[in-house]
Amino acid sequence: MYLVLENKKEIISVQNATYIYRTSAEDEAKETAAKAVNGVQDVSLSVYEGEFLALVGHNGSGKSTLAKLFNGLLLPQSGRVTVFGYDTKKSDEVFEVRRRVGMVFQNPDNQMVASIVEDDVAFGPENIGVPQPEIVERVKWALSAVKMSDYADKTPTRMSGGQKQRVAIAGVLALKPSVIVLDESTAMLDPQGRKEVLDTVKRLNKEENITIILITHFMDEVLDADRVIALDGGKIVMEGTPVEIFRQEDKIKETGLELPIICDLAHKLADNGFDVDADNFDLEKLGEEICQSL
Amino acid sequence: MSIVVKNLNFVYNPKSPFEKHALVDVNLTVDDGDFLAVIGHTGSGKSTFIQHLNGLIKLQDGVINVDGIDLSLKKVDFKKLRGTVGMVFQYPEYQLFADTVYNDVAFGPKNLKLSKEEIDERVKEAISLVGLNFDYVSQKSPFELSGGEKRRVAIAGVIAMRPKILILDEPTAGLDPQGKKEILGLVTKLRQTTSPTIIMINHDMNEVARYATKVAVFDMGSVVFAEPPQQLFKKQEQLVKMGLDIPTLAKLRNMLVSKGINLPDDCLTVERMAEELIKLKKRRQDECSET
Repeated sequence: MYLVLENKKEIISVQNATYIYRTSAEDEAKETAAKAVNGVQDVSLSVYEGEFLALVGHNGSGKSTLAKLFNGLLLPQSGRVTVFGYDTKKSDEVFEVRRRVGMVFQNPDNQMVASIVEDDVAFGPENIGVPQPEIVERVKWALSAVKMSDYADKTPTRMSGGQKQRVAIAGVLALKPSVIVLDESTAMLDPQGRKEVLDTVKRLNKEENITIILITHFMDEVLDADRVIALDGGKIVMEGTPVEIFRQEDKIKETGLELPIICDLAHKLADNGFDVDADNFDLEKLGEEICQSL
Repeated sequence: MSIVVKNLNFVYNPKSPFEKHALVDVNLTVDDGDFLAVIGHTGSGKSTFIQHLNGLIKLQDGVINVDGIDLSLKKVDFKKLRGTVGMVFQYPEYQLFADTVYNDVAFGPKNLKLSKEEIDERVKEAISLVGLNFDYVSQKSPFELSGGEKRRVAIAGVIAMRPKILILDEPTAGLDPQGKKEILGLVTKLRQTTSPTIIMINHDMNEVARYATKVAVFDMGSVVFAEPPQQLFKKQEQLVKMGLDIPTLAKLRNMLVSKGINLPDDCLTVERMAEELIKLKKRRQDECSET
């Protein structure tokens, strides 16, 4: 798995980036001793073209801060973040960065700017001066890519959370980005909505070769990722394929995360003499193995 | 009997083009000490239903009796009702408003016109019940706290009313795994202390399977099932047809049972499932060695 990634093109490079939130000076004096880093500290990582990268970690571990560094919404206080060679810190380059890295946030209700779905999707391309005929085409394409074409002339207010998030993704797609960052975009959705959004990003990853960075604390959402990075206290504490990550049960728990239920059970059974594959995420397969080893 | 609901119907915007039958002949009983999970997908009537229980929605048609308070009467004692039923909304942390945690939690009891000492006692009790350090947080602004802490403060505000029945609408939404565990642990603790009867809307079937003693399934405005999770999750096909998830381990159990492996129906948590499977394996090995 790693070898494959090594051959891929590095498109985002984070080099020793630090971003720490400072509140008032008084607070800082009080809290520095007690509190771990609020933000990210001295983080280095690469994102490769076409990969599906999952970022996990408990609340306050620095995931969202890192996400905001990727497209220059936050600028590193020290270190460097480059996207396709453009430095997020250089004010004349940051727009090149944002055009390539699109973000979808958590709350579906906070991301709509227009009262009609197609106007909302057209907002981005209009802002960067795409010619009108092309905007129409892009909007059409983006809405069909998230399977929301039927809603083009509808108002978002009566749509479900999952539908709204897909429109938000279409709005990002219309800018033809290379990377889409989803910052806990499924956290507020019901199971149906989560599935819609996940299926959509997986399809965009496979069919449009868009690099996906998925930030989540649902462990079952990371099972299909090419690579998982876990953060804790503003630092990277684990990195690897989902299988490699979930093998480290103790470390996962230390990080304030959880094993997916299937893994958890498979580990427990393997420890007790069952002949089951502890790296397996497939329920059917686990069921078969249990039958055979009873 | 804690809550009895009979033939409850509710129509939004009646006699208008937007008329919508949100509840259709709902019948449900919640006993003292139940931990009832309310499930069903978006638009199935869950929220409309729970808003009836503390009088946020006016009864249109049917009978509701909450702990002896008859909501179908012309004059309902809402003060008593809201002291009995505490409601924690979705993302309750968005409803914090006071300048300090203390004042936020004290808001409810103050409105009950209790004595200063009593208010103070209740606030202290509520804050410590939700697992926060009173001396550390009471004079802080609620907005200085973390998301999980804010949610606890919001729950403390409801607990300070000492409700016998506590209703929570998706209390774990948006929290990380640790935060989810903490909130559900807190709900379990409240059930043993201040609020013996819990009603919780939840979309996470694994949490429902672990915590609930009874599950009410809403579909198109009606309650289609109301039974313990152990029985309910055997009905995999019917639930899937309604677009609902099945807890991972219930799926596994149903699969193993269909293959002739006999497992008790409470194998809905990893610990229980592992325990039973290990027992079963041992028994089979013993049988083998005997013969």
